[in-house]
Amino acid sequence: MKIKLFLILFICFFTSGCWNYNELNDFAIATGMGIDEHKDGFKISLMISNSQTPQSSSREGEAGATVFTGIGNSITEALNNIDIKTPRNLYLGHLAVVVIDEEVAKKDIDIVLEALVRNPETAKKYHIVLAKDNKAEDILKTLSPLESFPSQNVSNNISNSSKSQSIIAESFLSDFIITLLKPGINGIMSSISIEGESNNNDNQDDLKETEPKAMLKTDTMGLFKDFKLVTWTNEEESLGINIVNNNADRMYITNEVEKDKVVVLLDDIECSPKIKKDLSVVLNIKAEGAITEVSGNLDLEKTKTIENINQKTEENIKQMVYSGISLAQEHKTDVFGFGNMIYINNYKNWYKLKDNWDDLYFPKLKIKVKVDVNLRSKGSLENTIKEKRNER
Amino acid sequence: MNAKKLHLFEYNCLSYFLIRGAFIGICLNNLLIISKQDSWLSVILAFILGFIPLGIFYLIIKDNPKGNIIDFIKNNCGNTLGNIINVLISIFIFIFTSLLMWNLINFISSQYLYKTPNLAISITFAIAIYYICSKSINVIGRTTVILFYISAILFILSALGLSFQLDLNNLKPTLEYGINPIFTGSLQYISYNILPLFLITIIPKEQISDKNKKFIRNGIITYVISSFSLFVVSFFLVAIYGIEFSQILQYPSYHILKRLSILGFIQRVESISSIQWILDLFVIIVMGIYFIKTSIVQTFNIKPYKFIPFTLVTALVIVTNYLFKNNTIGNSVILHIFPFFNYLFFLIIPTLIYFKKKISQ
Repeated sequence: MKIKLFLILFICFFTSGCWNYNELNDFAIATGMGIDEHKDGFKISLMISNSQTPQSSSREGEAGATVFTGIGNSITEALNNIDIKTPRNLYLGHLAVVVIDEEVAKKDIDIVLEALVRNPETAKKYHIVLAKDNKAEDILKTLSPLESFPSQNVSNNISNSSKSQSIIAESFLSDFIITLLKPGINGIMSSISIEGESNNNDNQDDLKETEPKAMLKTDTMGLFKDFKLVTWTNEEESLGINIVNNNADRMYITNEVEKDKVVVLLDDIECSPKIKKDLSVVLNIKAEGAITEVSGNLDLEKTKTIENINQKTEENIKQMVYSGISLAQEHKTDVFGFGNMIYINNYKNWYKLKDNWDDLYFPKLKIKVKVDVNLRSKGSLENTIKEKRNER
Repeated sequence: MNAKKLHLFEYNCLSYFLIRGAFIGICLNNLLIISKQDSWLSVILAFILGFIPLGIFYLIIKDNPKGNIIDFIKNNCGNTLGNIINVLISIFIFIFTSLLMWNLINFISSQYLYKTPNLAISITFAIAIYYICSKSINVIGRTTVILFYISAILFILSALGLSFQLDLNNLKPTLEYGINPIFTGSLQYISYNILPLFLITIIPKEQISDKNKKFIRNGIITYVISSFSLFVVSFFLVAIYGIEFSQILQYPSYHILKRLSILGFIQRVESISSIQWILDLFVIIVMGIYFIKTSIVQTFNIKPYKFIPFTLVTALVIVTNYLFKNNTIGNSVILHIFPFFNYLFFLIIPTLIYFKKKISQ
């Protein structure tokens, strides 16, 4: 009986899972991380989202956010540097976004990825983005009138932009590493920048103005070769690359048809690449969509007009795809995974090519693009208003 | 007396856990290293080849319905040699159980409780293991059934939640390194995930209350279901993460659960869904200790004193904490050394004894 009583007490006190226990108030919950280059190594900025007296945020009743920074020779050292500045334990389990300075990405992103993925606390599936033309720290500090936390702002912004316009593609930490590790493919990472005056929207008072002085916006994409950022895309190239990689969910294209402007929304885009034996690639792109805007007096009831719009859209898509391919070939980085397709379909052939794939074979790869567009809908109108007026 | 008997379903639940037990952190990691993207093919091949040890275990059970494997060895090898073999097998099972316990503690301390000392984690499990092992087999059976339902539900939810993320291109190219790695991988799988079924031979067929109800058919169904569940894990892992990323993760089958999304809104449930792996390891450790306890009682003809499981579990906690100096040594032993001993003690010795008996008859 005594042994049983002892065991019960022992279980109650020592095995109730309280060894690792921490009160929520003891945690400094980081939801965003910025990684900048520094002369001593790295400068890490952490957005702590459960501050009692926040620098920034928030609506009444919501937790506030504060950015802490630390410098160190390594990521861990910089994080430890932050740890000694905070009275709470840093908790990285709720990271939503990691912003990486382009200077860090240009050198070697492997060090950063290694530190992030090795940490058992992190979820591994959070957004990872590049800070374009700005420091990662400034990005994290820039507030939005629509979101409580800047980290949430960045994360939602990326998700939204990739889904609604396809200028960028969502890049999650684990997906990015998976891509980098595969043979015959290089990585792509989205970027974010500040529109307006940097360092001008880091206080709650700045949000009280009707037009904030600085706002975050999703920018174009960075192309990687091995573990280094080699170039940036422009908008057209981004769209082209996303079409080929099947990352384009929705996109708007403005066509000039018979001197009038026609905007179409493509929302069902599919690219099927085929590699031929002579190492040339054929990209079959099929897209469906709708007309969303017409400026002019095009007669949309004529089949010929719709065919013209389809044709113009196809030409524009081709132009985008070719410009994306040209950029990648110019910088000798196969971000489309054509090398990976060769590996998958004929690994013996890949072994012969792999050492020189990026530098020799990929830049000379002949790529043919075939596009088939079908605009199945014209929105709420059957014809243009001007055309209808001309009829009378 | 009937209360101390097992139901066939409980018996089959035990088999389910014995097959799954040594997969996470042990067999799966070996498969990914050896068979690479063809790991799932290794599981299929091992499933086919696994009918050989499965058949031998069932032949032993069928041949010796009133006794267990300890009696079987004693009856066929004589008292002295039989006792020596039984002691050797028990020692090996103790080391094997320590390896599983080490893996369990390592898994928990590296993924959940990184600030908790390993000793504290092992004591927590040791108490539960001691409690169950100090009772009779029917308590183990009943516990296993409850754990089976939890494990099965979590497994089905995990599989459904991850099924939308499959990319079959990650499984290609197939047979890139030829058939040899697939075969070697399948031998690893058999050694860690089929041969531990040997532990079930500690339960005499007579102790199963409804043994006549399609005993072998139900055993085969259990084998198919548990093998299929492990096939799904290896297949999903490579198809979602790709072989390169899977190989660098310490517990890839846990990490993949971090991507789990049930109905699109239940996310970040890896801690709950990964309990299935802990349950697998827990049951196989319990069975290991129960085997050794029974073996000691029968070999030395002593009463089933409660100090026996207590001593065993205490020794298990101590050995587990000093088994390997670090993970790298542990993984190397698991990959290169342990499988041979698994074959020796779980398959070769029982098979030789079985055939000796058949020849002498």
